Amino acid sequence: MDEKTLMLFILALTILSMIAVRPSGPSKAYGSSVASIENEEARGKIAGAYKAVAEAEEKGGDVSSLLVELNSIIDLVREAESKKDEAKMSEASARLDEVIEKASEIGDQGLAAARWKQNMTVLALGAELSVALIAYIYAPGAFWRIWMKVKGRWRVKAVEER
Amino acid sequence: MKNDEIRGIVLLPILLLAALTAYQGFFPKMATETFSELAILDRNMMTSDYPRELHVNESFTLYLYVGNHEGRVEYYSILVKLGNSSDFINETTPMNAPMIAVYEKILMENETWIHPVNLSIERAGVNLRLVVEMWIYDDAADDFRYHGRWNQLWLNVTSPKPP
Repeated sequence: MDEKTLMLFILALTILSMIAVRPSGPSKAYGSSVASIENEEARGKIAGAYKAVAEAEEKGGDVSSLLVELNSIIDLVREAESKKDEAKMSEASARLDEVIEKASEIGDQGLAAARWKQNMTVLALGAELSVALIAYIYAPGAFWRIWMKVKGRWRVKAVEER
Repeated sequence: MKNDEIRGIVLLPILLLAALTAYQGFFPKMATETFSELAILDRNMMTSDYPRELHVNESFTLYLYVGNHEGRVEYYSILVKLGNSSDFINETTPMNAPMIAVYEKILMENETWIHPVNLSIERAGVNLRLVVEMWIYDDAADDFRYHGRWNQLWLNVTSPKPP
């Protein structure tokens, strides 16, 4: 086995061992039984509302008030389930619909805010680059004018060497 | 002083400011490591006075501490299970033991949640494990997924107090 083949063999072995000992990815244990809410419809609706809120947040919206509402609805659903209170369950369902609706609005607001911020950045950059261009052209002239104003009346005097 | 030197001195701060503006405007978020926190706190919200010896059906209070640093809103389900010393659990496999309580909470990025839990154990046993597991809602799978975070307390539970 020549030196080149040996090196390739060691490299292949190293790569294989790295693949073999690579830590396994995120755990894949799933289970809907871990949810505290047994009512399938309510659980599906809470999940839907959560997804809508998460999407609104990704778009840049401020979802803090929606999360307070959503957490309070989860508590309400649990209470309605434990007491078998249909009225509370329907109230929770109506409030979940509102959260989904508001999440869409807040997501749109987030997108608009992001666009506005981007436009402002472009404007600010344009202004800064314009100032840079003006400075490039006029700065030396301005500097020498100021220099002349400050030191223009100075007289040069020869100093005798000692 | 030459004209180019004057230009350089004036332009340097302006260009630095422009670079900062561009960076903040177009790259607002730094990619950082994301994680979630889970802890069990004692009745004083500390980590020093956990219950060890209990009677059957004796109620005790603990606090759950959950922190979201996942970079986005997360929907957590915190499971409290009671197992034996032989029950297996690690970062990929949740414990196969009876669940005695479940708590759900949706947290914003960088938000923490401390929640009191009042529990009691219904059976006697030596070296029982009160395990707290963290599950996170997975959008893609439409279900909760074990997040690999767990804590435990070792308990010795003796027969009920005589009346």
